[in-house]
Amino acid sequence: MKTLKINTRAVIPVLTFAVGALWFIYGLKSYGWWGNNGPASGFFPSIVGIILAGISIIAFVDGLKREAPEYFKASYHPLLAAIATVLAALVIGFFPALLLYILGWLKLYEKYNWKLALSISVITTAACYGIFVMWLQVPFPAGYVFDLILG
Amino acid sequence: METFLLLMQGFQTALTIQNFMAAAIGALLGIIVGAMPGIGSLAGVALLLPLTFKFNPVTGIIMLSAIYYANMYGGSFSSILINIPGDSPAVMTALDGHPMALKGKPGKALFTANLSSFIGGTIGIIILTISGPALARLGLKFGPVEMAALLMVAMTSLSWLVGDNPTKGLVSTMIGIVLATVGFDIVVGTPRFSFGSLHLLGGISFIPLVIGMFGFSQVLQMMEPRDSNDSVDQKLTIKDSILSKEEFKRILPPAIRSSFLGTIIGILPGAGATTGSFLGYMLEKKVGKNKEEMGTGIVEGVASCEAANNAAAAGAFAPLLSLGIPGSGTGAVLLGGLLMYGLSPGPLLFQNEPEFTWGLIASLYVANMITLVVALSIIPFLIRILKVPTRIMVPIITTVCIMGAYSASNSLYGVLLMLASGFAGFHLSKNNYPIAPLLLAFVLAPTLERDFRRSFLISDGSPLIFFQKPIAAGLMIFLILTILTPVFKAVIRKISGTKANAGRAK
Amino acid sequence: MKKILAAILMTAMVSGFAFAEGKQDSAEASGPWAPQKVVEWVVTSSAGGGSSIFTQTIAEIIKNEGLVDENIVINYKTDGGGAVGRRMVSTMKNEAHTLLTFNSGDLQPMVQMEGGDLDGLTPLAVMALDGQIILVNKNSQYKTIQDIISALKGGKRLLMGGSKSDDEAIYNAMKKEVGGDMEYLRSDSTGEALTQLLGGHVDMAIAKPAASFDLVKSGELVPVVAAGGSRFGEPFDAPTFKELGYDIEFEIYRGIVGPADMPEAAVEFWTEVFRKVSESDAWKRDYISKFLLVSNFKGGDEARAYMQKFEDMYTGN
Repeated sequence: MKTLKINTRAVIPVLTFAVGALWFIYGLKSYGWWGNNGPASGFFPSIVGIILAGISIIAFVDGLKREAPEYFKASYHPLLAAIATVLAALVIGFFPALLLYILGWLKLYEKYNWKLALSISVITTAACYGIFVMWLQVPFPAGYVFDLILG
Repeated sequence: METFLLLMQGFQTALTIQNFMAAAIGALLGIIVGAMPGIGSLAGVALLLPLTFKFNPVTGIIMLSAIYYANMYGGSFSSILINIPGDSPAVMTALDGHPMALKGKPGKALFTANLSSFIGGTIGIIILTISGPALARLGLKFGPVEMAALLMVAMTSLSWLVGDNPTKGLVSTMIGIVLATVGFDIVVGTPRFSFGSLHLLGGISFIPLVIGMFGFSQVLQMMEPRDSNDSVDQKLTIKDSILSKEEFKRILPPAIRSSFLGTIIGILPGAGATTGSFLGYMLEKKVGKNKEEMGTGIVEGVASCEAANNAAAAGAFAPLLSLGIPGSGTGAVLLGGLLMYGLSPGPLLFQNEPEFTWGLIASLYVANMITLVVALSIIPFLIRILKVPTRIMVPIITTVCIMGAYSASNSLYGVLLMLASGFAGFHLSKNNYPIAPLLLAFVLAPTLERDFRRSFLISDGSPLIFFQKPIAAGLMIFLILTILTPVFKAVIRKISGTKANAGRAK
Repeated sequence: MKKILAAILMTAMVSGFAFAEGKQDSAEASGPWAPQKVVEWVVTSSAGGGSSIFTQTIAEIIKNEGLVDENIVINYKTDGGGAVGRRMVSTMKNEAHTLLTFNSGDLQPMVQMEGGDLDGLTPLAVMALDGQIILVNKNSQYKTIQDIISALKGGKRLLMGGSKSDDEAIYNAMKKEVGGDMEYLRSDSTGEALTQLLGGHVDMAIAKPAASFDLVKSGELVPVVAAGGSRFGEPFDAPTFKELGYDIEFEIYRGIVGPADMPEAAVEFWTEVFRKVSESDAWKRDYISKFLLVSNFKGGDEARAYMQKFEDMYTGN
């Protein structure tokens, strides 16, 4: 298994500091702190922002002293697969994309046999289709290809 | 006495074979829909509502309330088994429920959840029966000032949940509040922090956030190479799911305490089941017998929040029936359902339609009972989910996450938000930032901010208003005491010079 | 073996649906236009609310009366407070199978916050008009609108509750016309505003008659002034602002629109469908009289002209 080396213990506080600072500045400048005899739109965000920025500094100093947790590239594979599925859904439709994703994942990635991969992917997709589309009537995108066919 | 007679009449109306069947079907469907992440009790009731219109009003309402209860049972199922809370009240259930499942006690966790839900629901309904209308009146006393004070108490108790690293817990809490400030600011009626995006104009939606933070981030974690055991290896039998006498005795006190607390919270306008389950859990963490072990997977943790959650749901019926005011989004949908039957809940309901109203309350009992039976009987099938190897679970859970996030608002934007929160949640928990405070702050902070600012609107700028109203003043004094107690303790400890060795297990 | 068989069956089922939809496409007939595939009806607030009941009722009537052969699917697009759904519909090209439930409470944020306007939409119908009324608690020291006005003139500070959508315009108008020290407590829903009023946390609240019917009928809340052009019937009988000599008159509508780029034939078809719905007994019984609305059908261009008036008001033109 390959591992990645980034010290996220230090990176996360930097990001949260940035968010906190952004909220503090925006809260004060754009939305106002006090007005009309009471706390205004920016009151809460700016207080929360400054606290977040402040403790992020503590978390940063603390994070530098510790060793980073271990990351594995494999952890990001489901994320990439899910993004690919969403993009595929736009083209070929939601359910075909889901079917292909589960099938591909089990067959190509996890190297299960066809029988198992096919049955799990079909059953899962059909169950989702049955519950969400046929029963609960949630509308899903048909996909670019089907839109072309249907006009 | 008159109440009792009317209630008995109600049972007569409620207990027919047809109603029984309708409740059983409603319970089964409700559990399935509730267990789907993304379809919480709000969407679940809304989606299943049309189903009930095929029956006469009494049967329809029995089915509807069975669906309502069952939805919440279902929410705890997915929390416990795959660590994905079906909706916001179930976030607390995951804290102890999922660790229990990982310890090889998924059946017991589910059993505890169902039993405590039943206790909570029953106590809630009993209180509702005895004093519903009067309590609803009391609930009205909670205006913006009182709610702001109550939520300040709730928010400070968030810190008890933070665990061994207060800095990281605080970071999580603050991120939760920051995310919650995005969108429409109700007090002034203008958007903020939307950065020109139409999607952000209405705020960040909770369901994709929670599915990502809990569910999808866990998928990423599952991909890490682990020691030999791929899934829960222990034999999972039905017998192991049944609670022992000792465990039953451990469940009762927290369940009963939480039931009373939950009912009261449920009656308050705008507080809802999430606040109820959260405060129930917190109460147990403060006063419980095994408070040190809360969060490690013990029955008290599951019992306290599940009982409070269902009691709050029952309590929410009080303002709904006697004033026609829904206490929550789900209540609003139920109200819509009642209106569809040609009934208008309100001060006149108890007078004009006593047969129906008491039939409804009786049917709440019946529905609660049947839902329990249905829920318990499917536990043996459910715990098999844990025997599926992780390698197969990964694509299936990912699919469930995508489906749930999509159907929360019928958009791919929800899916993208879910994936982003999954990515963020994964890194946060890898670095020991707790996720639960983030989500709870996200739920509680908007109400706190809104009512805090409304209080100033009411008082025309004077902060003294929090001490001028009796209920608010009581809560503020409690708040100040809880903040000062640890300070006093620390001072006393310093003076006496003895350091209590608080051995905290890592 | 069994598993594989089941799998094949399932695949056939899933693809069967896709093909079934495909086939219907070929049945394009000449003559007047009619939907050829599933109709998507977008609602920009969540299931269970007022817009959802409105839409479900109409869809149900269309089905029962057989006005449209194809299925109608209701799509709750709630992202961005409804902004995303509205934008989606308004950018559709040559789309005849998408409808959008559109009330005055949708038009206002669209114009004021989302940078959109009616040019992106094709108004199909205005189905009903609703009115608003200002209520006080029965224990309030103010019993009539005169009490309130004289209190305001006497420098008293009063709080008014109401929903975040179309109620605030009345507050603004009243503040402008009457003057005095008033504050608006914005709520997510009318129900929440009424809770505040029942608990005595605000001095008065704006509501629609349907939402407050039982509370007024039982005497918990007392109507003091109507915001529309004429008085309501019992139990909402109270003077209008006009009678008191103030230039305040509001009504709100519930309507349906399509994308701007909807083909002319489809616009005619849908306008006709909604006209038939508005004339049906089911509509009058299950919606209009049940929720105390005023039936007032305006189709096509008439609906556009009517909605345009509101847009001008929101933009201040």
